[in-house]
Amino acid sequence: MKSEAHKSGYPAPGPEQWVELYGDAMYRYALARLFDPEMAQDLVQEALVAALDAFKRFEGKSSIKTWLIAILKRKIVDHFRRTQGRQPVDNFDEVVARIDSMFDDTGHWTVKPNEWDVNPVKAYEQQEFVDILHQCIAKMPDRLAEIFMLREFEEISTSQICHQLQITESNCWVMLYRARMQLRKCLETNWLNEGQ
Amino acid sequence: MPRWMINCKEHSRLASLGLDQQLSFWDRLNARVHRLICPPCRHLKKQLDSIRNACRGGLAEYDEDRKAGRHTAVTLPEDACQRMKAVLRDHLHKQ
Repeated sequence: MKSEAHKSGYPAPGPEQWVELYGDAMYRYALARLFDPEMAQDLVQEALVAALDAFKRFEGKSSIKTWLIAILKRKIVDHFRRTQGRQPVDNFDEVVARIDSMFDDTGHWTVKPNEWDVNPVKAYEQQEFVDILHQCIAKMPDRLAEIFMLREFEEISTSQICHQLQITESNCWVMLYRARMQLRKCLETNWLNEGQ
Repeated sequence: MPRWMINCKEHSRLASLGLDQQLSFWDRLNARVHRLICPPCRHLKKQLDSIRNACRGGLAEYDEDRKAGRHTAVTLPEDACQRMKAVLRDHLHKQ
C-alpha cells in the first residue's frame, strides 16, 4: 500500500512508509540537537511509536512530515526535561511576575531587548540557537509549553487550540504571549551569554 | 510620547498577537509607528520572528539537500532503520 486516504480526505503516507520517507530527516534533526547518535535514534524511534499511537487522531491539518517532526521536537523537549532533573512544578505565577517585571509602571522596558545575531528567516539553520530554544521550552511551566508546542511545532491555529484545550481564544493569546516573552528572555540570557 | 501612541508593553502584546491572527489596521499602524521610534521593540519583533522560524523550520535544509540530489547528508544507519521498521510493524500488529 503506497498511501492511504486519511479522514482529512488527503492521501497520507501510511506508517509502514514513515521510516523510509522521513527517518533520515528525523534522525538529522535529532542528531543536530543532541550530538549523540544513539540517543538521537532512540528519540526518533520513540517519536515514531508515539505517532503510531496518535495516528487515529491525526486530522491532516499539517502534513505528515510536519506532524512527525513536531512529535520528535516534543520528545527532544521531554529529553531535556529529564536530563535537567526538572521538578514537575508548575511555576506559572513566577512567569507572570517575571513578565510584569520586564516593564516599568509606564509600560517601558526595564531591561531593553538586545539585537540577536541571528537571521530571523533562517533561525532554524543556527543549530546552537535551536538547541537552546528546546532547552528553554523544557524549562517552561507545563501548561505554557503545551500550548506553545501546539502552536509553533504543530502549527495549529489558536481557534483549534482553544477548542482542543477548552479555553477561550483570548486566554490562548495571553498564554502564547507569556510563553514567547519567557522564551525570548531565556534565549537572551542563555544564548547570548554562551555566544560571548 | 504623544498620548495616542502605544507603549513598549502594549507593543509586545501586539507583536505576539500578530503571530496568531491578523491585526486590525490601527493595531498594525500603531505597532509600526512604535517600532520606528523604539529600537528595543524592533529587536523584540525580530526575536519573536526568530523564535517562530526556529520552531517551524527543521526539514527545509533536508528537503533542499534532497532536491539538489546531495547524498552527503547524515542518514539513519541501516541497522537502526531496520530496527525501527520492525518495531513499527510489531506495534501496528498489536493495535
